[in-house]
Amino acid sequence: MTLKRIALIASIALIATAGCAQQTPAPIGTPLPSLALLTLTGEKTDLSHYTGKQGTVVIFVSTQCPVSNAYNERMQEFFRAAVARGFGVVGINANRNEPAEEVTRHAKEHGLTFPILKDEDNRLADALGASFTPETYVFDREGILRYHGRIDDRRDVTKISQRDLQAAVDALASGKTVATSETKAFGCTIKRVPRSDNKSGS
Amino acid sequence: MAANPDSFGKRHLASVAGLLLAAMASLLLVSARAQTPVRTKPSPPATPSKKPSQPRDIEVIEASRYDALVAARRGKPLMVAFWATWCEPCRDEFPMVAELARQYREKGLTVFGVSLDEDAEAGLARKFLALHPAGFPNYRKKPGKEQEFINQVSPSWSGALPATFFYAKDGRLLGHIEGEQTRETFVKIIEKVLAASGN
Repeated sequence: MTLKRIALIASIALIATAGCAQQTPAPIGTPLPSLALLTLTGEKTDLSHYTGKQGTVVIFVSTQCPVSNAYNERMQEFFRAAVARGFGVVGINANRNEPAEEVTRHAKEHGLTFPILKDEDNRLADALGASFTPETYVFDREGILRYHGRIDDRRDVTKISQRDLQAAVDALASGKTVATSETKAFGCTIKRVPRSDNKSGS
Repeated sequence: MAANPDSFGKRHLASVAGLLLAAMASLLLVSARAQTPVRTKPSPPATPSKKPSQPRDIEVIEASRYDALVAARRGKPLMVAFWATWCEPCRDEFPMVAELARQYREKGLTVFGVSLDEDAEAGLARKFLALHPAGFPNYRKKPGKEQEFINQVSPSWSGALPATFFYAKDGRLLGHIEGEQTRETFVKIIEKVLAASGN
């Protein structure tokens, strides 16, 4: 019985360590990370260059993920409206299999005009505990995380009933507390670089 | 003397004819069996109400049914694979999961799959299973209330796919893995889960 119990605990520990893609999401209240990112033309930058007076929205995106692609138009519309209201909006591509050239081409093809940065070594994805695409983070004007999660509740645009990202931005713009600060949705896993590469830093 | 060979010949002919008749009859019987398996064997094939070429519809489940499916497998360690046709690593991983399910079946592992495809993708999911026979039951989650479902399965699941969950034989969730995983990782976890269940 005791042996079995030990084995059971060991198996839980094993699943925890083997499931290296599992991330702990940054808690609400986390400050905007100041980490090195790359523009699509290869220049070093960080999120401080993309903040807005009202706040900053970070969206993890993908060129290949069908879920992220289902949101292309919605993300573009959101960007136009949010920027007009004083928010900074930035896309982050942290997928190891989607190089900057592909991200540039994809943005052109799909009419995405918001800035997209490469998180080459997944430092930002790790700091925010981002797991899937499209996954969003909303920081207020002081750079404090106020919302984390999905864009809305349905991939099928005709069946949306809750626009959570929009609601978070609306709340911040009117000085209110974000009512629903954390949400979840099905999405594609962010394809991280292997951990050993992460540690060595590339 | 002449009668002997003659009668021998007649008898020979008769026995050859008899043999031929018997052979033809058995051949007819075999071909009849081969052509009409349903009539001679009433046990139901995989798709009793559909044409044989039509893949079977995947049963659509709600969150409560998921819990019931897990509970119904108590007594054996369980692996649940969540997948979708839109998820490329899920498609890549699925044949391996099916192979592992076969490999560990006799050691006591039970497996079922849940597709997270939308209604518009139900046909794709059905075709995918026809192309990649799982050897274990598969269901499709009723679209909508995604967050509630994710949290019900496990609050620590981000919603990222693929995701595979492991349950002890008493029905307790041991943990899960998200994203692309190697066969080696799967094997390590399955063997630990089986060992913990005394299998």
